[in-house]
Amino acid sequence: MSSRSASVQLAELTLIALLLVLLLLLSPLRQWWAALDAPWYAPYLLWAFIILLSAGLQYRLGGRDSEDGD
Amino acid sequence: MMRFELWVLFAVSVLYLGLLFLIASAAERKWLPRRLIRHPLVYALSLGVYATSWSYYGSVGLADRQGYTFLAVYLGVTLAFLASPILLRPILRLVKQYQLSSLADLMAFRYHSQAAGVLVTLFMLTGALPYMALQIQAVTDTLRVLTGDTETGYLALGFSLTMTLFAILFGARHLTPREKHEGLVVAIAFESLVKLVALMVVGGYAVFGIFNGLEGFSSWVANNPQATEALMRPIHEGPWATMLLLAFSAAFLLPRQFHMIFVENIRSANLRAASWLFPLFLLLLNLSIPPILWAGQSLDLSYGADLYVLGVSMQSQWPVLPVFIFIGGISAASAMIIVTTIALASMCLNHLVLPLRLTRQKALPVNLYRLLIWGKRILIALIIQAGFAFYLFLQTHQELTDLGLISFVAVAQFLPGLFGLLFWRRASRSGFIAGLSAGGLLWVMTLILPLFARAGWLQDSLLQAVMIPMSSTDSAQWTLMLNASLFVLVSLLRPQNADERRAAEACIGQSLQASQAIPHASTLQQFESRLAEITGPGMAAKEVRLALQDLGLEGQSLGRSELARLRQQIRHNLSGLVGPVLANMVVTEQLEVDGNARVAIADTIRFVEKSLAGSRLELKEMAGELDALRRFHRQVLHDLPLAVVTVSAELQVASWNAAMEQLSGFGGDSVLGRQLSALPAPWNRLLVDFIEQDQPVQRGLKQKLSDGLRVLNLFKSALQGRQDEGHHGFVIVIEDHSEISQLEMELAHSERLASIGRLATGVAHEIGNPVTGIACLAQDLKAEPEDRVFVEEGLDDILKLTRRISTIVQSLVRYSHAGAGLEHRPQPVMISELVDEAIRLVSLSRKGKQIGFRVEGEAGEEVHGDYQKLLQLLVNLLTNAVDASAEGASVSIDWRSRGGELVLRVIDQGHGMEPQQISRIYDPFFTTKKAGEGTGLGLTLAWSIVRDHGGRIEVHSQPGEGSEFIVTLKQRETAGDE
Repeated sequence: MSSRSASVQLAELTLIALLLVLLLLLSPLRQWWAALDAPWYAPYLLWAFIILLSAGLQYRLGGRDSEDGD
Repeated sequence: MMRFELWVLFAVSVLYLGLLFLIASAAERKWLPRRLIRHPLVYALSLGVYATSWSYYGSVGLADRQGYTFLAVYLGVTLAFLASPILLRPILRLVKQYQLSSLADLMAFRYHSQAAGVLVTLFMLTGALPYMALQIQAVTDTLRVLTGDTETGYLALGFSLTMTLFAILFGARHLTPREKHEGLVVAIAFESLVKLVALMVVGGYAVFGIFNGLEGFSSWVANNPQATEALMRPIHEGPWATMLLLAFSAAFLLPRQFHMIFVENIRSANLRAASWLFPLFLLLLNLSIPPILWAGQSLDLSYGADLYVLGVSMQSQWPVLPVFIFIGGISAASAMIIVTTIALASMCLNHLVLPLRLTRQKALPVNLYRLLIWGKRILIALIIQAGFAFYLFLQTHQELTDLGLISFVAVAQFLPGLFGLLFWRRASRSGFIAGLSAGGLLWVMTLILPLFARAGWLQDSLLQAVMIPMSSTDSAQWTLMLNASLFVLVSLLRPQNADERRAAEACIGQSLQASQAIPHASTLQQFESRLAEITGPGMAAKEVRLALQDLGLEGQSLGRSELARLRQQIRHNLSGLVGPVLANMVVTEQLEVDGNARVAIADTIRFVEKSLAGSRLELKEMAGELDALRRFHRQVLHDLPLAVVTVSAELQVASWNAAMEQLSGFGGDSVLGRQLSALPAPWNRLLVDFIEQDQPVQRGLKQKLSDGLRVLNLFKSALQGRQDEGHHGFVIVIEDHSEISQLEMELAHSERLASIGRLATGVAHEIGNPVTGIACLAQDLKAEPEDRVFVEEGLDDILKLTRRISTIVQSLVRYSHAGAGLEHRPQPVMISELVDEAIRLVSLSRKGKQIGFRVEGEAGEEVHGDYQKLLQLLVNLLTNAVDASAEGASVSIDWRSRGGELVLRVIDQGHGMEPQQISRIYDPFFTTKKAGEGTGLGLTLAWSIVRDHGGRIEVHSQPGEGSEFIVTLKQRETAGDE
């Protein structure tokens, strides 16, 4: 039961993270991180943030997910 | 201007590709450590095949034209990997579970249709050709820049021929997806590393060589704010969202991506690490793009921005730098071409070549393995040459990005079908085919025909009339809208058939239906001969052997459920060879299912348990409650301190609880679903014999186990189904009685010793009298030694007296002899002898002498049992009778035979018992005697002895009227007795 709810929880968190990232990338929030006078590396910082989010997500619940393995 | 000889570049390229081949061979031959080959970093780097010449050279060009829109090509990939728990991992599970080797296999499996597979393959093939042309163009362009040679035709031909050779060497070595191309993975990872280092070196050179350091670079950026603005502006105005969507789908749907992520995945856990490592690789790869672009702009280079990477490197003083950058470009192009052609060749083989051949000949060629490997090689060559032809036809220069985007829009057409596969159960074959066909057609009209028109070889006015030129991103929006709408609409209008529904359930991971498919073929020979009709005898034998190996069933006798599993495994393995549709066809036609055969309950239980444990399905409300109840009951059974085995009607083990595991010494997983007769000895014979016998109980079974001799009590009960179903099998409870038996033995021994103690006074008297007699006789003989007659009489008397002593001593020894341990030797026992011996022993006691014994019964009657134990039983009963009787009273013992049983009664005229006393007489330590006269164990032991002999004991008693004990014992040995 616990492994199943862990995978469901992981799926829910993934969806939330995905929505958050879509909000950052597609909404008018773009005006903030891609402002014309923003530093040239600003989009890379946002990208690094998404990668960190992905890594956190994989390791936060990944270890408890029983579907993994060979 | 720096110039290089063509032969130098060619030699360097071949040397580099040779090095790659060496690395691949080292991995395949296990010269490289296994940990390195299976490391998540190697897997993540191998996914870097995504970054082709488009990324390597074209990103700068795209950044020049569309600013940071080029980042969307990688941010889309990052999004796909962020969603990996709900997107990539389910696909990986399916690919591994059903041995699928391409997206066409996956779609053909889900939509249960060969047509779907063919359509996907054709579309993939068409979509990949512009992309391959792009790689050839990038390499020839760079060669032109480096050599100054304007004749590019033979350069392109040379490159594509070299690629063909290496693609065959790398990719057409193994046949099935379970034999991973570890060499290919490591080589592609190495190529990614070369690409990354090369781009970082150019980026570094741009900053430190062109801008003279970070300070110079910062001041250039500060002095040229329009440069940053130009990069940022397209994020707000350009086709940002569409590019994200296209890259999102390309991340895992492009043939090379699908192949590296899913088919070449060695460890599922690597995908988790790659979910952030791969995007990180892409970030580092693209970090150099703005500096290179700005360096190129500041230098005002003469070639297009697509070649700035090379152009900037050529500004350096070191000729090795441009050569290294060229090698990076070769890496990018060769990785893409090799992996794409391997993936496409396997798709074409499974979905175009083999089905065509089967439709014509109704049988696969005799040597299928050979056809597969050679077919793959020929297809690899054909596909690369088709890419080359595409490049030649286009001729006029195309922007690298344009060609790449055409392929991206093509693979995006699989998104609706994939969404259906993962999340929408009702998605149907008709919907998928309709959506993909319409989207594909529109893709051709909006992107492919205009491309040909631009190349100048589309003169046909009809074709020109149907052509709708538009940008790639606009085309992506329109084609996807049409595709998705038709997919949903047709899926709703044209319902699925049963096969599709089953495949849909399997994909969504909610299938809880056990395989009902028990084949007609009931022996391995039948399996092989049926398969051989299509695959040839050699391959049939090999496939059956492989499937048995996979299931761990080698050398075992196969029951119906094992045959069903074998059939399933053969289907999975064949799917890895010839694709799911053909595999399904071969297995369905050749290994027909026996419609009347019933799936064993053991298999159903195992299947449901396994499915519920690994399912993505969250049971809710009532189903959840029922599942919790099911788990509770299963746990109760599992943790029961008694060993419990459940057996199906087909005599397969359905459950084997923890106590049983402890008793038997082997775990539940290794025995579940196996035939009882296939269990390790002695459990096979023991359980089968017990099920076959009529008696529901078998007590005191002595069995040698690994930890010594055990005394087991076995109980069984048939599991009744509904009225019309008969029984479902048996539940067998096994009680380990060894410790209790040992305690009983020890108690019996103590009781015997106690009763000998009680007899001691009588024994002393019994022996004392003859000894006194012997002493007197001896004195008399000494006084008159000459009287021969007197001496002879005296000696006779002495002998009589010593015989009397000897008889008493022997009786005592026999009685006190413990018969230690659990050994129990049943034998025919003459009842009259037993009674005489018991009376002799009891008469030794003081009280016993004052009681008369009346014996009545047939002299020749026998019972079947243990002499020692039966003697103790009688002594205990007679001692009680004597103790209860008044002096001078008599105790009668009689027996008679009745229907194979012997009924023995011991009747006294003693004080009798109250009813409440009767109910407790068999309890240990309960006694009505005075303290010191009885242990309270006599009747307990009597009851235990009778029970061990499979008999009964009853008592009738009234206060003041004496008691009557009736013992019923078996006269002959019956089945189950030891």
